[in-house]
Amino acid sequence: MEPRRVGPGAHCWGPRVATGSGTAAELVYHLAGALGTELKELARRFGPEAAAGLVPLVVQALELLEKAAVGPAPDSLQVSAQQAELELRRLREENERLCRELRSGPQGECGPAGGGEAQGLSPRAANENAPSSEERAMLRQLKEVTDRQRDELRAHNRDLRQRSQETEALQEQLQRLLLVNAELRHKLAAVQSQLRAARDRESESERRREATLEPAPEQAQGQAAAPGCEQRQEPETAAAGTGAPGTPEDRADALPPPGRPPKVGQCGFSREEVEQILQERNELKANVFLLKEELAYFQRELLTDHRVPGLLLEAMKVAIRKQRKKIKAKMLGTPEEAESR
Amino acid sequence: MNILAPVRRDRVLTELPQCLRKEAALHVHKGFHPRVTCACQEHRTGTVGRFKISKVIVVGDLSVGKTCLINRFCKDTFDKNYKATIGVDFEMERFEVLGVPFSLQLWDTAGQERFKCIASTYYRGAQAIIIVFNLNDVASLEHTKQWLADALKENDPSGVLLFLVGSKKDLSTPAQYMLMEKDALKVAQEMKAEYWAVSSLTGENVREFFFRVTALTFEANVLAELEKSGSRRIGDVVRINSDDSNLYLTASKKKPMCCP
Repeated sequence: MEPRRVGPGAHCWGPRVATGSGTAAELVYHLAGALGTELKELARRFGPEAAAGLVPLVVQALELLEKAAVGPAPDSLQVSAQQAELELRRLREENERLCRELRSGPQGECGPAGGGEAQGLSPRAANENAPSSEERAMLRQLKEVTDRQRDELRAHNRDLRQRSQETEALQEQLQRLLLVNAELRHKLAAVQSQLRAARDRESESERRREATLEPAPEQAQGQAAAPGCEQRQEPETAAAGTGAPGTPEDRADALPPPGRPPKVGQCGFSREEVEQILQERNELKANVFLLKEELAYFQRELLTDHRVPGLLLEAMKVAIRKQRKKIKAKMLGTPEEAESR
Repeated sequence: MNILAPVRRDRVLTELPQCLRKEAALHVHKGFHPRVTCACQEHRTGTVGRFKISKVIVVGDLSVGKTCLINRFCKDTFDKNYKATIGVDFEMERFEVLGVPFSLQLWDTAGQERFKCIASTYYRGAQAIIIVFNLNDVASLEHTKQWLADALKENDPSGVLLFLVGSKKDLSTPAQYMLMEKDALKVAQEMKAEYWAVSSLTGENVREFFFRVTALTFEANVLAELEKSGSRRIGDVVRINSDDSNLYLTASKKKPMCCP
């Protein structure tokens, strides 16, 4: 009897202990256990009647104690909480499974073409999960490769841009240097020309100084080449003057007394001589010009290939001679035929 | 009758060459004076129509390139070596302006001091004076005033055309040139000369310059001629002259047609 009484009591309390209502409840159960052994000992020593009246009272008291210690008995709230917890766990699992299916679903659908609709959810998911994961891995790999290549391209781009900038800078520098170079060359040329001019001036003054001290051998030549009939009379001297320029004897002969003060315009020749020479040169040049023109004129006549009658030719020659005189006078500025100017 | 052969094709001027800088030009008209154009069309150019030689003198410091300038234009040559001109020299250059034959006698004078007395005797009767200076030598520009004064002593200042020419342009950088040009323009304005900058080495502006000289000298000559003859029948003499040559020309042209 007692064990049954105590038993069911202990059995009933089991789950309650499992719920963990605290140390007070354990103390009560411990107390109940101890009271039970004490009552059993009492009944064995004095017969079952001795404790018969006591047992229900103790049980009642213990139950009250238990109620006080453990709190309210497992009520609907606790049960519903447990149920809710269970439900939650179940829903979570289902949710997880659905999620998995959903993730593998779209991949699987294009995989097995016309795959059986009747197939269960789980085999289908298992069927498609394997290749999709492989593909995913491959995709990831591909993405990595493209990312890396893009990065490399960007780096190359940057490098190229930098290099082109460097080239531009170098070209600019080159241009600047070329400009500087050109300027320097110009300056050099200018300086050289100035130097040359200075040197010429120097040598001219030198020559002038020398000329005043020692008349050049050209003097003899100049006299020989003087205009007029003297030129014809002394061709030998002229030839000698040109042929053997500056024989020391000639020069010594022509030497003026040394220590003569230098005079401007005294350049070996007298001024009159130089003027004569120039005048003659101008005449000769004028003649050359006229003869050239005349030649061109007759050449043209010949080229047009027509004969001028003798009489007309004679008249033409006279006219030409007259015109030539006029032109020559104009060119040389001589007074004759001045009215034609 | 004219013994002179036709002028070279590259010496024919049909319109007025323009100035280099408007700031310093003898005039800036686009074309020849209308009276000149008209006179040329009607062969009323008086003595200019015959063998007219205009005297042009070229002066300036020694070694500024007077001879080189003339040689570049007349002979199209350039000699790098310096050879001083003794006294004077001249070159003839024949042109045809607006159909009228016209010649320039370019007198190249010595720049050296010792020849100045000789060269100056050739200044007289110039119709144009070209004063040359070196674009790379400021002193030569400063001396141009003295050269002008000397040249004008022998000439009528009102009847002469003046040109101030900077030479050796190839030797100056653009920056240096700009500086020099500023000064040169001022000098040209003061002396009422037309400014030019040339390079005989490269030939830059040489032809343009001499064509301008020719055209302006020709224009001045014809205008003076028209002025001088006034109401008188201008070109009567010329007409006879030109008829002469026409007669000859037609004769010479007809001959080959008669006996082919």
